[in-house]
Amino acid sequence: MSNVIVCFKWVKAEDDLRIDSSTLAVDLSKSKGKISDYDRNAIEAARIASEAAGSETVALTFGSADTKTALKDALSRGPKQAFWVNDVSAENADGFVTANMLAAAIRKIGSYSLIVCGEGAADTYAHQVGPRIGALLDIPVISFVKEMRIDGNRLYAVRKLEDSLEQVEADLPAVVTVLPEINPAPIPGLKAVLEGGKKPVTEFKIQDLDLEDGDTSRKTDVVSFKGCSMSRKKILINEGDAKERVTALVAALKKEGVL
Amino acid sequence: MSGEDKFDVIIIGAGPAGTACAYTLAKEGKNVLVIERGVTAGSKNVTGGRFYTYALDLVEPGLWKDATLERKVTHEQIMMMDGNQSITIDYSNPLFNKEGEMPQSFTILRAVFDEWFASKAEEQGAVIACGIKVDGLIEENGRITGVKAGGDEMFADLVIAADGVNSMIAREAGLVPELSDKTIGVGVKEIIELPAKTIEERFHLKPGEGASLLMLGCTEGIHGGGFLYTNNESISLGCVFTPSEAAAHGRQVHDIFQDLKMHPSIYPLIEGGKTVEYGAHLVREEGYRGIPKQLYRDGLMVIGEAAGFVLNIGYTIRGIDLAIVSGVAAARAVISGSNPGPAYLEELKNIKLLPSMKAVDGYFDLLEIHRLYETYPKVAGGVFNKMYSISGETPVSIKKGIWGVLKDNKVSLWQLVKDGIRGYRSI
Amino acid sequence: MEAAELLSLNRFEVDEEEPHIVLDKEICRTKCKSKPCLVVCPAVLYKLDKNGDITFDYAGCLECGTCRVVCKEKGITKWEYPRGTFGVSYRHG
Repeated sequence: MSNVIVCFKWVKAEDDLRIDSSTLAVDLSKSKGKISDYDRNAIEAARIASEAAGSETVALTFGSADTKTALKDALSRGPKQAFWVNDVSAENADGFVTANMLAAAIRKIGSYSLIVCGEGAADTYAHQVGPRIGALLDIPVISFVKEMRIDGNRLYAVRKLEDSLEQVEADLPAVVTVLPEINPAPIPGLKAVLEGGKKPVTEFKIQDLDLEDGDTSRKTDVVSFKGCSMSRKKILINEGDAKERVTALVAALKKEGVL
Repeated sequence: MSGEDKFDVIIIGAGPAGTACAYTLAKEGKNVLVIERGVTAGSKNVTGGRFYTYALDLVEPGLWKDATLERKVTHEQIMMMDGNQSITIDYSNPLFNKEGEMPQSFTILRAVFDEWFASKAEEQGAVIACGIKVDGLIEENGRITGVKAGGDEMFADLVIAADGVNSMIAREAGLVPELSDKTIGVGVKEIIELPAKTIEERFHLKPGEGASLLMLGCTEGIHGGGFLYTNNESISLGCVFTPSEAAAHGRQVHDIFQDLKMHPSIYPLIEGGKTVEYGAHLVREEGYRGIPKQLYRDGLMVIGEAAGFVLNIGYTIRGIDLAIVSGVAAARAVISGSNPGPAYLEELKNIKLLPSMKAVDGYFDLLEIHRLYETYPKVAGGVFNKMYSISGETPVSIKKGIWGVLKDNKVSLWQLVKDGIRGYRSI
Repeated sequence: MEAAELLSLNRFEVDEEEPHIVLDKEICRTKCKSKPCLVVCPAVLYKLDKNGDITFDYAGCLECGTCRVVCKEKGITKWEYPRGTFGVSYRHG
């Protein structure tokens, strides 16, 4: 089997975001980068799949210059090499642009049997990139995957839907977008971290890729980017015995439309 | 073992000591690995908040200009507190901060500084592996030959423990004895954000200038004190307590610290600020006496706070500079090519670390005078109260007033003289 | 400010699989009279429940080591730093 390509995104750590409570402006400047949480599970899923099939895992990302740290981190999680589409436009890219970049890079990388993406990115969770890559490469896409197995040239997967599980199969090559529960994402050990720093990284510039006019322009416009601030009603129900208080609580929740 | 699993030196901990050591070694072409348990260098580290710049110049002349430091300290303040009253001494001398010269000291935030410093060591060729905890040492025939981390083993000609005050590693190796709850302090600290301009107005500073404020009499009689350092856009406010005394006192150190924030002399300095972090850290208080008898054994050396290189002499507290100096000394010992252990001790003397610590050894006795933490701030407050109370009544003479205050606080002339002599001898 | 409120400002990555501090509450209850951990822990993570037993949550630990040093009766049976990447991550320090 040829390579498994796993795509990952370098995002801002959400717990470092700061929201101004009066203007709701979001300050990203103090936020450190990290590999999108779900993509860590995806990298491990790709590693397990390629190991079972006796092939190699290759990591791919689209990111600006500060993604450099991400590559080391990703490579310490198992992939043998990484490809990096390095362009500052990544910081404002939407799913359309990102998928175009990644699909073009995948064509450049050449042989692949399986493309693994996280179900959604930790920052936008838009579910765009995986399906779009599948469409661009004209190969099957299986989303919401919680289990998968490869047998020869056939991929068997279990999808987790809202109220049921669905078993599906497809011929390879294919794209899967995986849920975090597909497997845990182990923390890399010392040797893995040291090896991660030595593995090869191939850098692509946008002009290295076969892109058409318009591929690099966003399809979505950001009108505003604001935090949210919760204002509490501060209702205190403390009169009467337990039964009366519960009744009052239920009534209040009904009134709010919660129940 | 394969070549890939072997380094010249493995350093445990990417704090100032470990990084200074790695920087110096890597620059000389040594194959160095630094293992840090935090996700980034500095993410596990807390300081009161001040750094003496000369140490960075020992690592690399001029390196300080590039460093992510906060404000150069231009104002040295000591405050004695009792109840709601306080007495502050403010010393400033432009000689410490001559135009165009290296400022003597800066306020500092460790998560920021340590990460920068580690990146500099990396540029010199050191390998820094973050997010990895060293679980133990590998010993072969009495010699330390490497470290264990998770399931992995990594070997080196020399292992250097720069793993901080708790130093689990150096203790396991038998170099560092267990800490005593009587000779350490537990420091707690809040980072309180305020606009730069507000900080400059409240502390009478020019842009880029900073204040260091140490407080006595804010610990309810527990051996310890408060500190405040002005950063670029925040204030580090904290308190240090000796755990054994805090335990006997019975009130939570957290609560005593929260009260300090509300003191009428402190609150106006932090008013309107937003607390963004709460940290805690142990600090050794013994100075020279706290340095372990043995700083090395075959295959292992200990540097930084793990080796007791911290100085609290009451009016100033030093640790980060001493850590860096010890790291440089260890590196020089390795580079010298002679037997690294004895060479390390020699370098610690040459670099003036051990002599500097020995010179102020007596301060430990001074700071042991228990009346410093409650009685004397009370006495001073009482005397000032007498001096500044004008009511139209016939005042008692100051001389009489002082005796009255001493008597109120149950301080006898004999105790005063004794503490005075003891204090004088200590310094 | 309450300790819990202050701790909520910090960044923690809690190791759900492996607590880094473990107590033998029987020792704390029967052998330890003074219970210094109740007052010296800056994060106020050691508390007494209504039965007089120590309750402890390692999740908000600032990793200072004070409890380890004051624990004379060895009610703390394990004190290690959290596994790599886990525990508190200071943004300022």
